[in-house]
Amino acid sequence: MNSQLFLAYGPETLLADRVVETTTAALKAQSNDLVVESVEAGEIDDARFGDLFAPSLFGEARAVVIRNLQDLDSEMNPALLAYIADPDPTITVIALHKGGVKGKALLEALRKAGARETPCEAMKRDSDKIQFLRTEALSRGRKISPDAAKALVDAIGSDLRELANSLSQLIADTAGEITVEAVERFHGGRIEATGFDVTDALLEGRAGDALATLRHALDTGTDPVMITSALAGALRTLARVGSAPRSLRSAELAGELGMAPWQIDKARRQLPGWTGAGIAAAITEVARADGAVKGGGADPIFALERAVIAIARTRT
Amino acid sequence: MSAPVFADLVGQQEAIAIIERAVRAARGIDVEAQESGAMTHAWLFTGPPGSGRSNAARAFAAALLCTERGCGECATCREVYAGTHADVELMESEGLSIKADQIRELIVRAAWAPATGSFRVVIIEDADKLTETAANALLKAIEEPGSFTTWFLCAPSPSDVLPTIRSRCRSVLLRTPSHQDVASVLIERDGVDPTMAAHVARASQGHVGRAKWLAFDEDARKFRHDLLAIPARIRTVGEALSTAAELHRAANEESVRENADRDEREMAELSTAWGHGATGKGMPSGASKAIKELEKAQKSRTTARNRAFLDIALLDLATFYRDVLLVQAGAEAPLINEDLRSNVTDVAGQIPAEGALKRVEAIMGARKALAFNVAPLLALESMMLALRLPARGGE
Repeated sequence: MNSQLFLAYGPETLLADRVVETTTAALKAQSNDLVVESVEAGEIDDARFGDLFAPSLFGEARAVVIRNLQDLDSEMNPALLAYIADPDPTITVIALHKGGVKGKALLEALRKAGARETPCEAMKRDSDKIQFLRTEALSRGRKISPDAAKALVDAIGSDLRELANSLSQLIADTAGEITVEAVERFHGGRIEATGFDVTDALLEGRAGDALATLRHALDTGTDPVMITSALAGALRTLARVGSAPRSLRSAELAGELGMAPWQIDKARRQLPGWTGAGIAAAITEVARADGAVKGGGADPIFALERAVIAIARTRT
Repeated sequence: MSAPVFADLVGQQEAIAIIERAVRAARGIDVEAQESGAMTHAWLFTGPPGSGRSNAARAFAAALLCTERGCGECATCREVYAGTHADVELMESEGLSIKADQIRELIVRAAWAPATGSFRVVIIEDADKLTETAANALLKAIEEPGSFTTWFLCAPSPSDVLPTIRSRCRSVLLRTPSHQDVASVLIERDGVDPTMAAHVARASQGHVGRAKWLAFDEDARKFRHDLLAIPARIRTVGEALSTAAELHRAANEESVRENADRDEREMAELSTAWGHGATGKGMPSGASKAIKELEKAQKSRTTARNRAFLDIALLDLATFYRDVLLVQAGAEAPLINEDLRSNVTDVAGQIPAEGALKRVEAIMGARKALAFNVAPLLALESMMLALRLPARGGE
């Protein structure tokens, strides 16, 4: 292992930043006068490269953080490769790479030279995020209950950095194990919602939920246009499944309608409560809301809420 | 008798007289007209689609530049019509709007001295597509153009351009030509069979170009026939939605088919110009920006084409309900869709007069929605649902 070369490989910037933090902290512990230089790989040219890697006059310890290694100008490749082959003992290099194969030669050279590599994979599954929260809590000497971790993931959702921040907030604000109650207290009722959640609630006759979800979706950054298109799509599916023969199984119908069997099953579950006239009126409402959202009306949010209420009334 | 170059302007005698008098004044042939100010530096041609707005502008330009005042035969006339004459700047817009940058460029070219004659003509074919900034950029230029420059703007109606533009232009109003005018032009000029000419003249509602297209393109006639069969056909929600989907697909296929070859060729030419496929370091910086801009322009063109297609289809549908109202009122006037009389009477028997009006309203609502960029399929669905015939037993 080479203790002077570090590589953080993957798209999750929070984890990559962690690598930078822990590595520089460890170096600082060894020498107080550590100088940290941070640079975007895309900005490195001959002059900057010379600056970064010139031998130090006073021999103090230095760390060079190269962000977005994949963007390094290919003309700078030979210089960096040469450095990796023959590193300066006073400099620690921390290279951050977004993942993928760009800058393959550099990655290979770093790995061959024994750089310490930390994978920074994006966390897509909820279970991964829950696991992340638990280890994160443990590393701070605290515990978070599985339910609490799940509630937090539901509330904050996609962004890992935001999750980590919320966790440190919770750690600072509570004592002992972090419980569901604590999460609810700080993030009560907030959920990440999309147009599809709004649509599901509405088509299943939960008008109140639909309105609340609509607000959540808009507050968490869902574009109003995405909501009208989700509504239109779902109503279209409902109408087409509704006019198809009931005797057919969803798998048989799937090919004919060009839909997935689960879509058909879902529409069939939603169908009770809907008449042809109801669906027709609902589609008209969505069309009107779509026009209002695209500039025909003064307030997109009002138009959407109005449409949600009107559609809820078309259901019998 | 007007100059040959005006022959294509069907049923526009008043407009032609104004234009010819202006030409005589501009060329110093008619002193009286000159002194009364028959010629001016900015003109606005308005009239319904197909009435020949851009043809009128081109004919005007040709008459100004041609030694015979518009013989329609000489190189000058032909170049003006093709948009290749050095002293005529022709701005045809196929995208959704005309941007300020395009206008600023145009203004610079407009100020050049004439290369051949003593006039420089700038034609903006779809002045209604000017964005507000673009229109404002134009104000100064059309108010005080160089001494040689004349501006011709075309738009469906005077209210389609900013009042500030309108007030700086002299307006020439083109009428919707009568069915007889359109039919006789098709018969005399294009050799169309009289029965067919009468049919397409009615069907196209005075749109000369469309009448000709319908007369010669069997697919177009069939499409129109199928389209107008819709009102007598749709009754259930399922039928309404699938009909909307069919129309939506037809519009997409049409606009893609019309543009695909051209898009591909333009893209290939642009990439070659930027050095695609050449040896060396690859395309220089700026290439991807240029390519993205072209993609955007092409997409805008396809959308505009798609909208125009649907707009014509919706107007055709509206004529059906106009006929329904006519039958319901017991009027003797000929139907626009005489060929579908049985459908018209059938529908007239099933819906009340308010019902026919409501359906026209739904169609006009859909046109407006499309112009507002509502998802086309959704707008069509909403409209088709409103067009449904009542369940047997009345509305």
